[in-house]
Amino acid sequence: MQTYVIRRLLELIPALFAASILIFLMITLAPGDPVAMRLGTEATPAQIAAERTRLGLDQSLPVRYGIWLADVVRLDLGQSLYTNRPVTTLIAEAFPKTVQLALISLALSLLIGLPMGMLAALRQDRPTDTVITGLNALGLAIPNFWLGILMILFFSVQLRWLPPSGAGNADQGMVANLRYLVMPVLSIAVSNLSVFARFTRSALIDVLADDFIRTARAKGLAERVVINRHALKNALIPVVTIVGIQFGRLLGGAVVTESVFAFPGIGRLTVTAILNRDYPVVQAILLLVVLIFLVANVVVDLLYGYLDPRVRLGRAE
Amino acid sequence: MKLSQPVLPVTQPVSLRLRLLESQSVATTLRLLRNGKGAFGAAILLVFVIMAAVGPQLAPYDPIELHLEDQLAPPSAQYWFGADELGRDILSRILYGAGISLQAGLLAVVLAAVVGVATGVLAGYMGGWFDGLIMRIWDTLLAFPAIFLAIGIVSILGPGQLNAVLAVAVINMPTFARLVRATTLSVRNKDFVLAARATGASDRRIMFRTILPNCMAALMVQIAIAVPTAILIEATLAYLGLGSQPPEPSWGNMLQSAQGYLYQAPTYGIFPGLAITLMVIGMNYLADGLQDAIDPRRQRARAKMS
Amino acid sequence: MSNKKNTTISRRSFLQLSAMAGVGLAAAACAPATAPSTTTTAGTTPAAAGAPTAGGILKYAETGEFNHFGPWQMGNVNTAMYNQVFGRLIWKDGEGTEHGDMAESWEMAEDGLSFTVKMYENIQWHDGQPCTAADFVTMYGYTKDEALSGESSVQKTANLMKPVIDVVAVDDYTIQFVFEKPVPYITEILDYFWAIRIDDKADPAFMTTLPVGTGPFKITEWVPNQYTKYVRNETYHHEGLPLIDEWVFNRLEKSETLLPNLEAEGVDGIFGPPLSDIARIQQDDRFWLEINSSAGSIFNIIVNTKLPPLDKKEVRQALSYSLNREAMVQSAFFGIAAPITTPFWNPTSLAYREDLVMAHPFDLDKAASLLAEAGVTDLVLDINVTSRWPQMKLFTLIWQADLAKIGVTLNVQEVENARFYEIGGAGDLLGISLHPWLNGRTSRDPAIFLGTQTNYRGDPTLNIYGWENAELEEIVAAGAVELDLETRRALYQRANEILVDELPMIQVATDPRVWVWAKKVQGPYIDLVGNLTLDQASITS
Repeated sequence: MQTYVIRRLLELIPALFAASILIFLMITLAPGDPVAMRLGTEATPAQIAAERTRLGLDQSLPVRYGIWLADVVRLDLGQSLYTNRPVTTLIAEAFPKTVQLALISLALSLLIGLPMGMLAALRQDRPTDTVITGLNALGLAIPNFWLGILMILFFSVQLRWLPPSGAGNADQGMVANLRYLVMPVLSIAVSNLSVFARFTRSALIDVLADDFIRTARAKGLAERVVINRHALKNALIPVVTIVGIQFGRLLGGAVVTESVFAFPGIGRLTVTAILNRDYPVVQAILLLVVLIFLVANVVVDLLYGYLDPRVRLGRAE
Repeated sequence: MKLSQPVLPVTQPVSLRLRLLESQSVATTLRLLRNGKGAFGAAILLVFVIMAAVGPQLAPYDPIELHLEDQLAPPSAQYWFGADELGRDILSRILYGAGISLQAGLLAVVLAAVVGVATGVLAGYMGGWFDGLIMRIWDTLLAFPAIFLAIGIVSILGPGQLNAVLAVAVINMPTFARLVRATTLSVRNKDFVLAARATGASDRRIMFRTILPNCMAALMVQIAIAVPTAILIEATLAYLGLGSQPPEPSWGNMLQSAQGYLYQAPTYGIFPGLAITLMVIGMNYLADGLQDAIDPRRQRARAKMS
Repeated sequence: MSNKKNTTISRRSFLQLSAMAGVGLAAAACAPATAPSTTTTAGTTPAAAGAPTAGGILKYAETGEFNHFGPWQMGNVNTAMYNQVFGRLIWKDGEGTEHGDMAESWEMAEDGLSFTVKMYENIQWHDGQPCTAADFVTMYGYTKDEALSGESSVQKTANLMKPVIDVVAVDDYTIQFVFEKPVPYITEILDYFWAIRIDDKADPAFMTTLPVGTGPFKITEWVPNQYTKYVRNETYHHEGLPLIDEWVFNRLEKSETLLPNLEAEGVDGIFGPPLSDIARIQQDDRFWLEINSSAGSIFNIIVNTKLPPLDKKEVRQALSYSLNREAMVQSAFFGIAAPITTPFWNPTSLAYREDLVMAHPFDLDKAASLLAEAGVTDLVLDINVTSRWPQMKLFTLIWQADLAKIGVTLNVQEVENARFYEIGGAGDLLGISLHPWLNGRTSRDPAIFLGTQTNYRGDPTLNIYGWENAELEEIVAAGAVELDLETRRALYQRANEILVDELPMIQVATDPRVWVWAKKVQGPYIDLVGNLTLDQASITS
């Protein structure tokens, strides 16, 4: 088992390497001049050229890639072209906010989505199911930026309960700052819970149709026992995998939601950096996000292997 | 998550199999329409297709015609959905935008399917270094959150409708490739394929006439699933300013503008989003219905329960 | 049933408004050199009357993130803090009247070849070190320092200080600026010469260590993405000032959230709300507005004069006539701007000529006939816009519709900020015909304007877009050293004429800066550079 884990983790390295090349090409090939933008409309070409040289942007692509890679290995992520601040600091500021957003949204969507999905599966094809499936369809179809706009319209413009964007000031205290989280969390939770509900529903339906459930019923076990002890446990296994994958995705930053609400998390940082062609920031964050994504996949795989007794027992041989 | 099984009996000659495929499609379509969800989805889609085709004629105004004196007008008899920041009629823009969204979604997915299928079947059939290389490329793409990849691609190519479509296509290619490759691998050594090879059929013929039809069902489902997501991502790109250019009436673009005027013209932000949502719901229902129609086992499972 | 804005401002009344604002503020500002607490309340505020009370914390918000704390950078985002943290020898108010901040008196030599300034003797830097004439010599030294040759803020000042060949400390508190040829506009140059200390040459933007200055406030804290904090400078050399204890400069992400924050009383003053919100705020009794054009920023369009047929001035004039500026000001700028055809629109400028402010009224027929004269048919042009300036998006679409009426196709494309700057920074606009742009300092002495806004010059070694005009260059050279005011005026008015006739840049509208304050805030004013000054701001309860 241990060697298996180590092997999986080692396999990440070539994947990361390939991803790093793609990331580097993607952002450096994009037209646009971050230096001209930072120096403003009055900058002369000489000033811009001097700044480019100072930042090392006038060297060839392979050289720049090599330098970047060498720096990354030493954990030196460079400085933002736009604000001159170390990239690690920028990430250290934005990441906890995204984690906060991801955890709270995930908890909320699990709390609502799982029971919804189970209920729909147990009452399959009856009115409850149709309603829940309909709500899921709605939740999946709503563009999350529109949902965000609707929330702002309702909570900020109409009711004036909540601030339309940002994350509050540190000196306002934790509770006051929670107000800034409400709408982003709700936006993310709505689409996530639809994913969980739908997935749980079909997982549970599949399990309930399985032979061993028929056997349990034939044995005369009470329906409640059948469901609780046998069906749910097995249905939850694939659900765990989707939760893991969604969490990994959310850690990559709920890009659109953060943009709508100008929430200072990783997603917003990345989008702004891409639009500003802030090469060091984009490269560092995308690499980090890909790493998280890949690791999440590995963890989920391992978890699945551990939880599903068929796989676990099978492997022990 | 389960591999799709070959739908056809393995020993029939080609012509008979193709005819069976046709009748299979007919049967599937009938099942689809009889299924409540599928019918509902198809109906919604039909509405939007009609809107895309005929809407331009029905629109009360030219969507790019400016009426500066009616800037941000609220809904009224003159402008049913109100007017935007340059006085353009929002209803007309929504009618025109239907075609843009539908086209973008369909084109992107079809493109993804063509490239994905071609590379997938080649990879699965040829194996070896080609398989390794191609799938490594697709896997690398899959490690990126889709929206970042889309933004990155559009950043390189430049903003615009076509480039947004290309970006969305690229995002979807890995999934199609993996799907087809998996099927190809599972079918590669089956009897009917070996038989075809024994009769001297060329590799190309085997791949595209013999193996590919087995993927059809799963492909159709995947396309149906991918289109609504494609529409959403294209709208997102437009919202971020990376999609179709002014003054084209793309729904995502309209929402981007609307967000700047939420306090002055709240209804501006409602209608384009509503349109996107309805279109995507319809397509999702259609996809669900299609899945049920193609894979009747799911319906049989339900029959067992009651 | 249409949602008409009811604050249409004609160009004339708008300019009058700005002038009035300038007068009112000048009245408030005329005292700071010496007088302590008897300063007048700001005359323009429709706020409550009564003597300003001392104390309190003023909360303020803008959008955009700090990326440079040095005032020499004259950047977009940070300008609001310059006058609070840093001082200048001499500065000019919105009307153009000179005041001494760190200078007690000043004098131009008879031959015009030197300018002597006597400083106050009790000025301290925020860290307690005394500020003397030697500090100004050091500052001048920065502009010649090799180690700082790559730093853009220092280079900007070096460019401004070019006509100064030496700065001498005559004694501890007397500074002499020495010239080779007369520099009649030296006080305008000094308006940008904030007193700074670059203690760490590796950090000229003061990002790792916050800067010290000689201004009324000390910067004490920077929480990135959130705010900067400033406290009263207890050793400020103007007694009794500043009035408030503390100033918090918040940073918000989206401009749409500025007004909601103000209305929710999270902040007391904001800068730069979306123009579309201004109309409803003007109706709201709880706030007062400052619409100020001193900074002189204008919207214009770079014309690719190297790309035929745009090399013909008749074609450029046709384009100018095809711009419906009045309509654009109403819709794209929501009534907050003035339509202009010249960069010298401000009556206080030496180059001002009333007939040139709107030399090309909207006339599609005239545009069409000019095009026909030039032998141009089926003209196709392209232009790029970016989300940073929504006004550009809107006015180019209006222009597109109008141009279509005379058979000219204008393709509009939206690009990201970085790409937008890249195009603007390229001498050939990367092959694109037109590019919207902004220029500043139009209210300044034309010598400064023409010295810094090189896209208005006729010298291809300076003007990256390659436009040539020998006469303009002669005027620039002559005007910079001419001591007689009327001669200068005639020279610069001729420059104005040339620029409006040749149109290497097509002017569209002014770009006023808009502040909104809660009624309880009194006393903030704007100087000629266009920057906020809070030394006399107060909060009534």
